[in-house]
Amino acid sequence: MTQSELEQAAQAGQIETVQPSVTQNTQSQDINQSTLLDFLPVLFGLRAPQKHLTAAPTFTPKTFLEQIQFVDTGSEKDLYLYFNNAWQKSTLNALYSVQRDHKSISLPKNTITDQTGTTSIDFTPALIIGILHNQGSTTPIYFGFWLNSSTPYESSPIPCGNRPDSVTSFVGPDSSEYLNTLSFSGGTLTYHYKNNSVTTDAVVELLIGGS
Amino acid sequence: MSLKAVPIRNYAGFSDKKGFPGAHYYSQGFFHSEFGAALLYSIVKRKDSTDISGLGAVKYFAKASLYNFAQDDNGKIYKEATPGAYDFALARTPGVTSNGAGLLGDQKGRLLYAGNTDLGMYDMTTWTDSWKGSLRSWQHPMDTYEDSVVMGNKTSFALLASDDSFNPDAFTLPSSFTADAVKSGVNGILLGANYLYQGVLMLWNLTTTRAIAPWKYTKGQILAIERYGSNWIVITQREILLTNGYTTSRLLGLLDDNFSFNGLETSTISPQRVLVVNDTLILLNTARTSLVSYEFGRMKPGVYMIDIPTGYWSFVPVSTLNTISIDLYAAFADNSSDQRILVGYRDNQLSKSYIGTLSNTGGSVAQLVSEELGTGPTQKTAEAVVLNIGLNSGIVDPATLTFSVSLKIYNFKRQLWGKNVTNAAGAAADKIRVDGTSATNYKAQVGDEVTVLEGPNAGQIRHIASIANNAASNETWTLDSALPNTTGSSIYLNVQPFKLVEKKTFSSLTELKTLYFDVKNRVKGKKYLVKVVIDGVTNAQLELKESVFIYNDLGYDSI
Repeated sequence: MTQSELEQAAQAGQIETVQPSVTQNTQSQDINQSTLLDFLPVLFGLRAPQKHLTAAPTFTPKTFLEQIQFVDTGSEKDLYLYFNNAWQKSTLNALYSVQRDHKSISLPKNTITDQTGTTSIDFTPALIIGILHNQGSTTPIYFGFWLNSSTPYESSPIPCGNRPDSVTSFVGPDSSEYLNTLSFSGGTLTYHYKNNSVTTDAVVELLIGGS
Repeated sequence: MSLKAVPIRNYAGFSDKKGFPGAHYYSQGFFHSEFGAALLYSIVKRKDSTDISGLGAVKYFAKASLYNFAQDDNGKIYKEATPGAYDFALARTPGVTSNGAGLLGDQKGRLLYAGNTDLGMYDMTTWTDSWKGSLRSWQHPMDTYEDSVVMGNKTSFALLASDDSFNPDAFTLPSSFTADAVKSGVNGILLGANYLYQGVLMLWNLTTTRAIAPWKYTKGQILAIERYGSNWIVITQREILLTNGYTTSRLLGLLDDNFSFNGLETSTISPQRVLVVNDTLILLNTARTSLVSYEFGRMKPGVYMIDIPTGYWSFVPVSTLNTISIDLYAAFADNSSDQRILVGYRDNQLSKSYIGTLSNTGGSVAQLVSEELGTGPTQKTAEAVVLNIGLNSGIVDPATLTFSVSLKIYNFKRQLWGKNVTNAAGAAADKIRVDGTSATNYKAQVGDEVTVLEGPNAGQIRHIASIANNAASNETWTLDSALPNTTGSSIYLNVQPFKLVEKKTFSSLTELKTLYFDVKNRVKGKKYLVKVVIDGVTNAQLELKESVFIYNDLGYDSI
């Protein structure tokens, strides 16, 4: 078709303009627009356990999660927290946690021969303080100290009777009434006791500390 | 007569997605412009291996202390004497074994250059070829991350700390993996490693001994990683991915290859084969080591520029216009004042290596194939095309309006793409010799379009005027006009059934003319592609605007 033929056809209205069904893609994606995806590093950090380092951190943290670091050097397990422009260290496996317990041991009257008793303790006692009083009374009569695996402590000014030796006497006035010969093994505290009194029951309160 | 006029206006680019809205079928040298598609960019040669004796294929670029450096596949390092002047010259031949294994300008203004097993350092005074040794023999992609440098070391990633202490195994990989890509970003540093024909992406922050996010496996090897805003773009053998280091999504595929059976070339590790500038992905598609037919279609070796937000593709050939036997290894955005984009490539047919730049001047040759034209499955005859050509509105400097425009029609009745190869040098510049007995060559017909893909005539497009010795081993085509040079032997060609409607040539116009093409032979068909070839351009950035294809709708075929 020549140009003049086309022009004539156009003037005669013989040309139908057909619009294609598709037009240009205008749905461009702004990939770098800020979305929830930007927070994925934080979310991933929260979702998974944080791995430990093997040496003290030296980097400057860029996120809150990085402010907390766990370090296991092999000998120490440390918690590092970064604030005030420095790493602050706290050693976890050297912390001394004190544990305590209380036991009441009964020394019944007319116990005229040496008896052996036991009580369980779920930690290793380091120090036991014993206080003897009569049943029904709150007034302490005797007290003593027991140091596990240590030389018995003895000090005359302390009013612990005439037998301050905690290993042999612990608490009590003499061989007529006592609780002594304490030993600890396998979660069990073993002791000896006696009470020759024919009228009065006695009680020994044990205050136990250890770790 | 039932004349219909359908607009030709899909100029935004072509696409890897089928029936993508607004996409034309294919183009070379055309880019989406203000009012259509224009000849905006081309690859311009700056230096070649004639200018610089011994210049090998440039695999890496880097910038250090204002100077651009290039490293070739012999490990030699070239330096610009004057920043921005493209006056590269040999600066160092390392005294260690190197096939060009990595190059980086560090945070201290030094150049780090990797040989196969040595990391060298140039502080702008002294070259130390084996500054850090004992690397595993492999490519060593590198990038800076904060005050450190991370580099591949085959089965691990090495770390060069700010105090220059070097840990060659800072991030270890399984023994069969290879570290092939590394790029820092907002969320950390993304490491790419390959194992057989799969890859794995690992996000690291240097402070942990392992990745900070689960590893992400990719189908196909990881070829290169590039930053894109707060994300990364990852080129794999099969696809182009977008990742933030934690999640990964598919951004683009390959042309005409849904399942990536062909894929991108993997034999040469070239971490700089992808570059993002603004929102444009610049992808270097290097030739396959063993030529495959796929490369004769739309996925040709050359430079693809993909608009990331919209997904439209453009293609620009290298400066030699070779689109079949070209190796492209490195693209680099120079952050000097003129913001150049350097490209390293090698023309295997001409046996020359090049340092070029992506220039904002159009090429001398460009082509565009329209979207599918013709409404409905009725029988039609092509009648005319009114081509609307203008000038890119962005140009200011004087342009010479000298050019030729060829318009061609395809009616889908024969195979669109065909390949052929010369089996002897042409007897004259208008002769092409092929083996007509070959079952792997396209059976050309008189009138078919021939594109020379390589050699001195690369990029030239002609039509077959006559065929002598048809189907014989010395089949000879006479072209409708002579090529600039005789075509040698073993030169690959595209042969396509685009029928030439007319070629119009203009010289030093004072203003552009109306371009009316009368399809005199009334090509019959149901659907059409219109191809526009512009050549002989000097400096005019011609722009294709909305044009019109006129056809006569003959109605349905007789039943």
